[in-house]
Amino acid sequence: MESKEIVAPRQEILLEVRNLSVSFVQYEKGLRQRIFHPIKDLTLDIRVGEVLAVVGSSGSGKSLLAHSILGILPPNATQAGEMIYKGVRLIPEEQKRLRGKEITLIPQSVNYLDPLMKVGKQVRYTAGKGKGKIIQESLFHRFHLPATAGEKYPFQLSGGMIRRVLISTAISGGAQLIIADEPTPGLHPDALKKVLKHLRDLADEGRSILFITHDLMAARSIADRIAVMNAGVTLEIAEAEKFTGKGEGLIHPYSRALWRALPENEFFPVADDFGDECESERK
Amino acid sequence: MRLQGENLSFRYEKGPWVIRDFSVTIESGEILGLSGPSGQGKTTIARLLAGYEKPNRGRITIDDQVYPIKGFHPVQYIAQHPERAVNPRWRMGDILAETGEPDLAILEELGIESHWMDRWPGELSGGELQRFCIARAITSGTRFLIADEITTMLDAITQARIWHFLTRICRERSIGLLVVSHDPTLLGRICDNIVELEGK
Repeated sequence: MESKEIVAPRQEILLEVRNLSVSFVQYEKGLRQRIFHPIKDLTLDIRVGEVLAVVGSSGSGKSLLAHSILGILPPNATQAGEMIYKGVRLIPEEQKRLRGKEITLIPQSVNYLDPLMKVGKQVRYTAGKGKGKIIQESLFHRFHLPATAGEKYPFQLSGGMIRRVLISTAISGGAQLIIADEPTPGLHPDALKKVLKHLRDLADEGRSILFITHDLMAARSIADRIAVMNAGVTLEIAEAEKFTGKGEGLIHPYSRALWRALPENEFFPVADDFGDECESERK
Repeated sequence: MRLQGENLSFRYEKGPWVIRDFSVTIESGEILGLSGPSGQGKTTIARLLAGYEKPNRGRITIDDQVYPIKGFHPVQYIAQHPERAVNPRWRMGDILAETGEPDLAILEELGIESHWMDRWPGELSGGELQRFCIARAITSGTRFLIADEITTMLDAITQARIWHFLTRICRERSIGLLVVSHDPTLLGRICDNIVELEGK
């Protein structure tokens, strides 16, 4: 029996990802293959009660990290390296058992909702039988969604409201590790602040949040530590406070460039290549 | 040139009004910001101006041309979610060619690589797709661009590069640009003027 009741001390590691790599085999013309390597060497750990932010350019493999942890990579993907959850190796059977219950996802794309089901019902579905309605209503209240929103279909809600519905579905079942994959774009500053506070509160309740984002300001405002990724590699994991001034406290030049590019800072577009896509072709 | 929406009101069927009596003017070469809480009709305004929806009341004009406009639309819309603005069953090269022969200089500036042309949309990241959507919207016939939260899903460096690129190209070509965004810092950084929608 898993000891679910035991509350772990704050610094205990919940999930450890060691040297993760993910590659895809793609077919071009006929049987010509091409290997595509979006995650090359990713190492990080997330502690109990912590918000760990993962930031990086688009195409740096942030979403694939989420999908690897959940075990929902597409069938043509090959994964190497190790993932350890509560001291146990995360094998596919384990992932299947945990996902949607102990480990949940707040997805990136607003397309993850069922377009033909009222959103209230979608939140109740993940909450489980019996108390679904109460949980859904309290979550809508918590995220400032009007009670009438539950009776609407996804296309009738604005982008920001859909975000909040997605967050509700992920936490309605009582998860331990919440992987939030870009949960904040499209939110107005006030709503953003509230959602961030809710994520922080969830961590303070003893859950762990893997906060995948490109929004460094948001990451800095709630995360304990920030992992910077580029081209499928973790470049550095720094305490959130290190992102300040001109980024003097940061080790990697890319982390500093990311910090300086913010409109709040210098809005400085680095001179080198546009983003950094991870291509097997490019060396 | 001047893009003008006068007393625009819009609702879906008999639903509540999404916007009411909203007026806006964008001049060629102007960069205008539009901000406000979600659900206040920012995207609706953007879609009306781009000719995707028709207002229930009010009218939209470009100089003396009254909407609807036939042929290539001088107002091009760049959507918040690029994955929903491309045909998933077309290769990127075909998606880009939808608005005619692509401008190679623009592709290069946006960092769009030639080998991406054979890819399917699902094989590119959101940021990569968005750059295609931007390139697709900028043609010789484009007079106004409507950018609806187009960088919210992108990292800071890509975001800064896209805005430096867009503001420069709009100045150079006298394209009027409407920037819809939640980010007051960003709007303050790039816009000449800002319109704030208020909560209902």
